[in-house]
Amino acid sequence: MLLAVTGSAAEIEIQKMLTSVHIEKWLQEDVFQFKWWLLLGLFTLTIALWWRMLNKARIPEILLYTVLTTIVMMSIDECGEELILWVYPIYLLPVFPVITAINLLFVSLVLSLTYQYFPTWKSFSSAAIIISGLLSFIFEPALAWADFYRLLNWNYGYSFLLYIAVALFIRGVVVLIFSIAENAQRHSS
Amino acid sequence: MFFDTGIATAVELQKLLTYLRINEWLQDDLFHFRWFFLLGVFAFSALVWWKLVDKSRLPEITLHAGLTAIITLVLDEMGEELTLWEYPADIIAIFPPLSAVDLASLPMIYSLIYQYCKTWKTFLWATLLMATIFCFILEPLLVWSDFYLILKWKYYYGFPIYITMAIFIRWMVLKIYAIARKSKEKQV
Repeated sequence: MLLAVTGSAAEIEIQKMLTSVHIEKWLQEDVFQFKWWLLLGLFTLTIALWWRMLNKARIPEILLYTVLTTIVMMSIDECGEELILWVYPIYLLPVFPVITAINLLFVSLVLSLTYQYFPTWKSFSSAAIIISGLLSFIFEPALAWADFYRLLNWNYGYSFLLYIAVALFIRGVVVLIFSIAENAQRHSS
Repeated sequence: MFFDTGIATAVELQKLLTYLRINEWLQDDLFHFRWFFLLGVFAFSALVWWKLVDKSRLPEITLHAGLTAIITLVLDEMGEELTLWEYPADIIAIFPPLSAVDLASLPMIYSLIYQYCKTWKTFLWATLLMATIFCFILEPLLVWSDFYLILKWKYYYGFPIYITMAIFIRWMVLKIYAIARKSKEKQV
């Protein structure tokens, strides 16, 4: 029957079913359950710690790094979920689960602090490798163990390489943005 | 099996949905006129933004554009998952909001309005004008040309959202810079 409707119409029907499964599952198994509160706690704790450690004098710069990392990681996260590379079995909200699973928030905030504490390419590269290692070989297995994250067609080694690549790429972009601005300011004055 | 039922069903449905999307994309989108057109819209808007953006304020304006992009992506994806609307044409087959016209236009226009309007008064007037053009000219045009499909949505629903978003993001960027200024003063 589904094959009788073509293109967009079929997609919309399947999307409707998928969202209703997400919401149903969330209402029955997740919301206000122990693991859901735990997730909420992790969210709050991560944000609170990040805010405490954030160098407020450099907040526009660090936040630019955070925002760009979030855009890239959010896109990768959602693409990976759509391509069945991984799935988040629990989330705070049933629509767009990727943004309320803990991975995205934690990775973006940790990488942004790495950017803050390591101001040269050399120190940042080493730090990025170590932090990516911690994220993919300790943080992610812990999440998988507690069933906040499931790898379907993915492994931790891929995560490791991905985090390093994203961390270095975003640093390149932020450095470039600031050097363009400095050049422009020099020319105008 | 390995999966509990809720997640297992979700994964199967997601598989089907992605399969349909990729199929439809290969058949009707990729390298078709609309696909090139959409690509052109993205390139054009990036180019215009780059020409108009004040390079000496680039970090600030990019922060504004980035925040706008995040909010746009999140709202677009939520609306798509709730089948409020749909983007029938995609540059890439997955994560449709990533290649929706919204992402090509909103961060660019919002951040330029932010750059040019330095007081709340001028900013609000510009935002009002922009929201009107978006809701009642641009969106109907996109629906007419089949880049955007409204399912459970009305054009005017977007109006307060566009305005709230603009005010919120401007407030946030100003706040961020104010915190930095205060913190620097304390250090001196």
